[in-house]
Amino acid sequence: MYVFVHVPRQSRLGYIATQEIGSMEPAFHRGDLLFLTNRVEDPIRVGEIVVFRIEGREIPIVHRVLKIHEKENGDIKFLTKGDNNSVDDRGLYKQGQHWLEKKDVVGRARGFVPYIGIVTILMNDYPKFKVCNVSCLNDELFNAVREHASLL
Amino acid sequence: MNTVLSRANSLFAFSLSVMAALTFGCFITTAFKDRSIPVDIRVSKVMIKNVDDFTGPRERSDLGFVTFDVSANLQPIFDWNVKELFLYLTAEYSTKSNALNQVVLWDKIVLRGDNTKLNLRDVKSKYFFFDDGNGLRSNKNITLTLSWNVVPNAGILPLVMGSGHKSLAFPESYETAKSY
Repeated sequence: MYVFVHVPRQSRLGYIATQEIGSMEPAFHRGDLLFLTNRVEDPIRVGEIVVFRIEGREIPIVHRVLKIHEKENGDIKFLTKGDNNSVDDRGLYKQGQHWLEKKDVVGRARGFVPYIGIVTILMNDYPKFKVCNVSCLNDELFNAVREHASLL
Repeated sequence: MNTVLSRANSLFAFSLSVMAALTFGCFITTAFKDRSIPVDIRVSKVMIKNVDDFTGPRERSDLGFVTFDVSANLQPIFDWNVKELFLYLTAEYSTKSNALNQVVLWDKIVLRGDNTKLNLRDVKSKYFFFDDGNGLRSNKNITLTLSWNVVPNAGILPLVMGSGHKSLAFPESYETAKSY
């Protein structure tokens, strides 16, 4: 599942609206909003939903951790897989890369609200909708101003 | 309020507010619920081989084979704010080269409305149980636990571990027979 990420630099809490294919269905669909945390001291454990970026690629991916091997000093390497995929993500990683590391993680999904991102997706998929939206709002604004002006 | 458009606008805004309040209600009424239930795991067959890890790094690693039974009644976990449970069986152990290893052997998606009585026998692991190295042979302490990720209609995505685990030990020698 590819996502549209918006993680603020300062705060630890970010959010993303899911944009693309359903590799995490039936849990998350296009248009759902995921709340992320990015506390580096949180250990990575199997079952967690992580948002990671592959080196050299801009678009982050939201998948579940399938396997971890952690050394005593805290160095960890882990493998991910989308719930709806039949194979793990090694095909998505860089050529020759078999594991992800802590530095690849952008955040951990902790909360979720459905359908919120649908407006953004509609506006991206159907630019006419964006124009219609804006002009409707303009009409509304115009009417509201006119009403209030007449009351004065 | 005298045009169709402004009435539609008010109606739309009101509906959105109601839905937002309901969504928040869904979240806050189930945010602090304990979602753990007892789980029964049994292991019927354990075997180990040593082969090249064909799933990724091509190093000679230990490959474990575990056949297990798992049963649990998932009914108490489901409420108005649970859309799906993502169940996963984890094998956790430590080796000389890695202090902590966790491997998911099997997973299952249970949606609201599906049969909630989990009673599976002689299940083979879905994913290959490769170690990062040769740490499975003679490993006396592999812990199997069943956990689940609760996916709500709206709200927190907690990871809950079932109470009840199973410890198993791998044999001292590798299996040379061809069968699994």
